[in-house]
Amino acid sequence: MNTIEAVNLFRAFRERKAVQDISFAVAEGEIFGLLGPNGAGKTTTIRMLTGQLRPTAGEARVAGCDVVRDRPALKSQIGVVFEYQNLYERMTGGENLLFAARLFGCKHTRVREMLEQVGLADRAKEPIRNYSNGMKQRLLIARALLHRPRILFLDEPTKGLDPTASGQIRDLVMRLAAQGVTILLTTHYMEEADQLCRRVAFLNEGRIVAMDTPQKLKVAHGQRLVRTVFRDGSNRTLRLDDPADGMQLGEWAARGEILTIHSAEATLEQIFIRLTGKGLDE
Amino acid sequence: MNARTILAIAWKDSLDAIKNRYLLMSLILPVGLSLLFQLIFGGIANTGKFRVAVYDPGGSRLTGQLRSLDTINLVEVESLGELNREVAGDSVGGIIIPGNFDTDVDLGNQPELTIYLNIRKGGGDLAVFRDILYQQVWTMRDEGAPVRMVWTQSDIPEDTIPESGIRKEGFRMDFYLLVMFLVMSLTMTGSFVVPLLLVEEKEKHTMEFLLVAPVTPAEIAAGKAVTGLAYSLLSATVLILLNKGLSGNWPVTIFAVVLGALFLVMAGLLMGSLLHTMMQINTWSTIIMMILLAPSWLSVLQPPALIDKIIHLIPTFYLVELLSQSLTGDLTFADAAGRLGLIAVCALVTFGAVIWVMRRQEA
Repeated sequence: MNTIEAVNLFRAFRERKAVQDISFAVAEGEIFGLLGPNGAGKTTTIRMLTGQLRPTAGEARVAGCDVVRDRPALKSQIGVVFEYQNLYERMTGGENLLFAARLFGCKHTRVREMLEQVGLADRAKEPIRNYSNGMKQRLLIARALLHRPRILFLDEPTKGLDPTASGQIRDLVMRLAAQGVTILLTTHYMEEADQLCRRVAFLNEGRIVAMDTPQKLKVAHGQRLVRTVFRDGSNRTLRLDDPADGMQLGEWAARGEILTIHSAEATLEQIFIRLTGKGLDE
Repeated sequence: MNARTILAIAWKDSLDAIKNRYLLMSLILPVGLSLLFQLIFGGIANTGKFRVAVYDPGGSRLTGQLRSLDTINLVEVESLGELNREVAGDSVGGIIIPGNFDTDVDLGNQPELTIYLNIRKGGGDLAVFRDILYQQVWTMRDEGAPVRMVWTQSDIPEDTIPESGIRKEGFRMDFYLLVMFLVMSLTMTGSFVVPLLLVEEKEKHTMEFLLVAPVTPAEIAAGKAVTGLAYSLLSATVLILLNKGLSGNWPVTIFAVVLGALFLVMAGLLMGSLLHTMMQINTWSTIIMMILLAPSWLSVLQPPALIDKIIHLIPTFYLVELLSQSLTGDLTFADAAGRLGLIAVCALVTFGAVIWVMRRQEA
């Protein structure tokens, strides 16, 4: 069953077309990634799906709610972690969550529960300005999950975080997905998408240029390669789809010249470049 | 409108604002200035005994009252010439009490009481003298203003004393300062604190969080308005209690303060809805604050006719006028109704504009 369905979603800001006729569906419990460089339309798509922005055309349903007509009902079904760490910096972590709990009508005991879940219970009384970026990001996730939403939108959840903090966030996302929460995340870190997402959509200049599982995208748009390292220290990359390369590999193996063989399949980033002609940082 | 969410936003803003040095500064500045002025004027004034001259051919009971006060050394003169000499000399002021004064007071005719001030005695002494005389005059009758007090300076003929709108008979520096600080406090909260509460949400992207929470833009505005009103009324109460307490016609004062606060908070919401950055707030708030505060500053001056006409177009002019008159007790609800209504209409119109702007932005 799909919990997110977007059909020909379109949004223009005056003359600029930010999102152009995109359609996709996300199944319940799935982690779905919207990938693309800055300005590709990822955040605009999230803002439309979360009811913050009206689509210029097209329609979308999230948790069965129309994103334009059923906004009040939609809000109780979704949690959003924004690209910006939009916390109240002068307040403590606990106060930030308490405020959210009051808005969503949650029990105050839920605040403690969430702080413990994201490992911030012992820092609850500290002002946000003393928190590291990783701690702020975990608190944002706690705030988004306070009212037990069915769907979680994560906009660039690991942007600007160090590898340890990014790892913690990724673990948290995996745990949530295991609990049945549907997750739509945007990122321009392809490795992260590869690791987390069941399916991804490449977004470029407001359009979806490819959408599938990372593995199928690699097969469809990449080449099956292996990198062979020889005992003398040299190496060669061979194409598995080329019969001549296959035979050559067999001969080297028979002669015992090969030290190691590594798969050298295309990365999502290479596929993106191949499809759009430009990199993710452009 | 959901009261729970409105109160949650007001709770958050109250908690957050006391940790924001800009907001805190604008909230306590008028109270601090008021204390400073009180210290300066009150400190000078509360020492020694005043020499006051009185010309009272009819033998009024007011003279008896003044004679019995420890703080006044009353000199009863026999002629206006003698009174003038006293005021030009050691007396802080001279009072002319008409012949049938007591009878007119009792009949509610509001007889004229002319008081000459010796400006060489300084603001502190004069302020205390005015206070004492007011207290004594107001004990003469239970209902309404007992007399019309005409204050003048010793060497200026009475007919040159300016009389218009706010600068009514019986000008008092202490009440003038209180009105000025009250209007300053309400204006600073309305046109600086309230828009800042909204713009900070936009600039720090916390507005996006509010918009995905079960809150409507109108509830966000209402939450900010509740915070603004609470701060306005709190600082107004502190100012009144620190100064004159509930003097004069205090129910009118309270009505005027509440309606004035409402209008200024709405004006702040409108600014906050239209503006997007702190820099814009700093620029526009300063300009708008200057305009809104102008009537309270200009109330002791005699501005040119054109300026006088322009300040009549500013809603705070009527707030200043109401507060000036209600604090001295020279105003009834009936007299104040028109001006109270005008401020209420201004608040309603501004509220309508806020809703219109928000709906446009939402669309």
